[in-house]
Amino acid sequence: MIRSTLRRLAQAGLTALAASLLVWAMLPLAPGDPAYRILKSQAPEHEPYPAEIAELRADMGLDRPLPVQYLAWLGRVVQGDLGTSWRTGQPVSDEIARRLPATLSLLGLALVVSVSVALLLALISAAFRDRWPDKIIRAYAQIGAALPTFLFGLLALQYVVVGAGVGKVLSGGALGMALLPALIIGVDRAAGWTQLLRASLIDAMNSGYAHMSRARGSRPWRTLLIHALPNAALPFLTAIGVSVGALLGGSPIIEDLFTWPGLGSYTLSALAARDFPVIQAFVLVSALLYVAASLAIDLAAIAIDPRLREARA
Amino acid sequence: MTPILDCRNLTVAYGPAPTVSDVSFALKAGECLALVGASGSGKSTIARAVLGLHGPSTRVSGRIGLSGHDLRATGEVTLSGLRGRLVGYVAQDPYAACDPLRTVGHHVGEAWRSRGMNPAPGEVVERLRMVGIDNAPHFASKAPHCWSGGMLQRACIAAASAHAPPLMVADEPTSALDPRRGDEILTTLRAGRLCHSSLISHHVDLVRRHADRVAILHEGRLVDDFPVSRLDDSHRHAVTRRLTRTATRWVSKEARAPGEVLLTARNVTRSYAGTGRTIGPFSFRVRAGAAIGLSGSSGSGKSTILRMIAGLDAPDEGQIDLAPALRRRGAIMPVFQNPAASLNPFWPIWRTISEPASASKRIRTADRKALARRLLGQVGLERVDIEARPDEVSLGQCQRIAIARAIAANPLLLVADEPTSALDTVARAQVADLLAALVRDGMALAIASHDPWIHDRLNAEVVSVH
Amino acid sequence: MSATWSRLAAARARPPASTPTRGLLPRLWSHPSGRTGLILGGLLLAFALIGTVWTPHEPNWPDYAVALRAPDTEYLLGTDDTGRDLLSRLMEGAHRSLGAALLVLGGVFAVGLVYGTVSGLAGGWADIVMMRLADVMMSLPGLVLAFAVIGILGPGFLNLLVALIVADWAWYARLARSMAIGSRNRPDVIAARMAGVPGWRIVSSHILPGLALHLGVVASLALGSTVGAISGLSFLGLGVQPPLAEWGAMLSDARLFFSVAPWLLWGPAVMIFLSVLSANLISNGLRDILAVEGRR
Repeated sequence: MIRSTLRRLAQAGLTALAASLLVWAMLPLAPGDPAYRILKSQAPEHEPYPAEIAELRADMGLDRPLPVQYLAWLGRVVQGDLGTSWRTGQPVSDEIARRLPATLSLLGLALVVSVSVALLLALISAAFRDRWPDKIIRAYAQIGAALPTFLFGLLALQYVVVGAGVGKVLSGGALGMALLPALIIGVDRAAGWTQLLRASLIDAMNSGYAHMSRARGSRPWRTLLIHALPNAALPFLTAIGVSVGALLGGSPIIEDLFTWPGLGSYTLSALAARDFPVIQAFVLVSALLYVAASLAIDLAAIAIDPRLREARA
Repeated sequence: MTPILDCRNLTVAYGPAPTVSDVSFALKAGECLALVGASGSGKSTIARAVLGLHGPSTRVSGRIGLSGHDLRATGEVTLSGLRGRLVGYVAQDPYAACDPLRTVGHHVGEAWRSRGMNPAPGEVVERLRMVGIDNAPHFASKAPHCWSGGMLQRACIAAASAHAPPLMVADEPTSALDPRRGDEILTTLRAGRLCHSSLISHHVDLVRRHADRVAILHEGRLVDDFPVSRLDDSHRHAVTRRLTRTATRWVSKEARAPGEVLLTARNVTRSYAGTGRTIGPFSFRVRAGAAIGLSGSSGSGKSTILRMIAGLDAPDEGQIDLAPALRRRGAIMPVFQNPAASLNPFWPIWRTISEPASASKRIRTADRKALARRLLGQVGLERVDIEARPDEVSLGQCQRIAIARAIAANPLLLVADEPTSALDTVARAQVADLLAALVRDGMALAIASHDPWIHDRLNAEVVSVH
Repeated sequence: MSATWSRLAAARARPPASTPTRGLLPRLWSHPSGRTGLILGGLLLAFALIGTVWTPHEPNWPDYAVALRAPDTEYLLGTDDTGRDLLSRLMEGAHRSLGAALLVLGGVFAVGLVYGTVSGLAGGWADIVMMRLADVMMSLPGLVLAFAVIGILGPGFLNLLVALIVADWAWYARLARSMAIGSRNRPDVIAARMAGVPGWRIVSSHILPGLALHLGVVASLALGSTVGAISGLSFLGLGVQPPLAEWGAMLSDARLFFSVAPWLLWGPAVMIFLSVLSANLISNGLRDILAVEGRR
């Protein structure tokens, strides 16, 4: 158990390092001279002089070999320095620190909502398989899965919030404000998970151990909760991990929709201006959150499944 | 005296055609009945019906009387109460029957908890000890994958017999296990308090030793029902004779001059990367017109030896010397355990069969088809359409097609890895007959199988692998 | 390890591990949700194809005289703020929205197939280096990677396609590699090797067809989510640039006029919904028939 946990931890560290390399590589990979583009983005009308460019290149250490540049960049990032925004000249770290809580509370709440909704509906669906509660839930899941989150959010926003006057369109980013958007996101995302979990539960109910449980007199509900649910939870956990990535990646869209003052909307404004340090910071923070979420999920899976615990030598 | 189990005109249908039709039999207290039939003949479906476990979409008709209860007239709630108390169930594959996430102790304890009771302290361990598990406290806290198959099956028997049900339904309880464990399992099943049991099996030797009565199932119908002592009567039903014939020992050991030595293995060993496990050393010779049989339980390294003979893996130590004639491509050809997977699923079978012949030179399609037709005749499949795909022929036919493909390369040596273990009794005999005929015609054969019967059938010189 | 009862079922219906697909369309047609998906998908495809050659009105030319007209007999779905016919724009934009998804899937399929097969069959150092690179790509969630690529290349329809291909190819490459490695030890491949069939012919006739087919089916399972991702990114203005029509971008424009012209929102919303629904229904059918799993 300890060995497999340690191995997984080391693996997460390596993944984070790999992600950092990819994030750093964005700058040298982008076409054009970064120094020229910084000057251009700070003063769009002014064509920078060669001397200005050369000075900035020296300042940024762009003339040094690439591995040295990467290590220097990594050293700064580890100390919490994500550079300065090309547009505003402000430190990116400060802005990220201000906006990250808003994003985390929105996505975290949405995750909680969708996991609970999916868990409840999938259990009901599997227990009443092919009867009316199952049919209704399957219809919901089919429709929800066919509505991309932003589309469902857009419709819900226009009809529920604007139309019916519930909640606010402009939100300040506080946890209390997050409830309505999180509910909208969660209910939509739960659809795909309900389908997945229902299928896993039904598979588990058709397995040998579930039949054995029934054959010795266990009631269906009991078999479902004691045997099917823990076994079905494993693929479900993996899906949650993938979904954390999708939520992070979708945060610019979601936050634009709900005018949420988080990381995503910051990134979206930077994308239009090609403000590299901000985009890099977004990618890096998302990658680290994703690595952490995957780690947590794998450790949970190790805790649930004894087969993963006995590490294969 | 009322029978423990009384099935009258039982018919079960999953789709439009019934899987089991009009089956009637009864079981007295203390009697062991073996339902015998090829795979797909309806054995497991009957087991399921007796447990009342068919879903609402399955149509069941007839009467199933269990210790005086009419199962078909009993509601689900009452039925749950009867299961485990009046009827115990032992499944084919003990690993599938245990929740992989929980300990085996939990599995056995569920026999009580699923009925709203709690096992007395030490009860679970005691039950495990009763079925012959040494060091039961240690093993009870381990997950199923840490157990060996035979031990786990005994733990499953302990769980099924927790409430001493008068009837035990055991669905092929030994077929997923090493055959040497079969007798132990069945002895455990009938020992102690379990004096009444119904056994379901297609392994005729085990049935002979452990059952009191035999019922023969064929395509969902009960065609024969008789005491086990009459198993070898010559006037039994044709299906019975076919099923039992394959179990009788092959006696005609015709003396034959051994052919030339094709392959010599000297002190061959091989280790498995990462596990530190080594097999060998082995020494043996393979001769033309003779079979060499590798026996041993699954995972013992039989397949590895075959891979070395085939030249797919090299031995770590020792040497495998090939006769010059074996050094050309196609001189050694394989036959595999899973017949369906060994044929390209996208190709019509003529293309698969004639592929070796066209390996090094171009042959016209018409000639390839003619070759395929000729080889199909040689393996006794004249009537199979050469344009058929692998999913349109039976498993046994797939295996014979795979052998035809091997013959197409004009091999001197066939290496066969468990070629019959995926097949039912009838197909098994056909494949074995075909291999025997090839050996008689001068082919050398190296065969790995855990089934001693096939080594006998091929007059193989047996090398045991542990 | 399969269960007793399902093993019984498996004896009747062969395990579909090697994805035989003869008669795939007929089998999909006889699958209830597969058939609905196929009909819906066929209608959408026809809608898009007709849109490339004929639309009731000029889709991109403004006509302020008829701005924000509610649906009537002349403008069946109404007009937008510059008087462009909504139905015409939906039709004209259809091939862009649906075609983009197909291009992205074709891209990840092709890159994944080639990269994964080469890596898996080459083995050794080439394999290790190629797979570490793929692992680095997979350390980021797909959409985040897509944003990074858009950040590097800038917004635009073509860049959007590239971004989504970069986001997902590594997953398909990994799958193709593991399948290629698995197929090296497949019985039919071993038999062909032992019979002396040349290596390139084994790859081209035994390994590639099955691999390509399986990978193609797996890629097609992602059709729904790809349509969603493309419309989402276009909604942000990162895809098709005005004045060209695209469903996601049309949704974004419609937001501003929701209170006066709600039909502008409904048109593209329904089209996106139906596209994803049809793709999901077909995927469900494929999953049931072939027992394959895609990326979730």
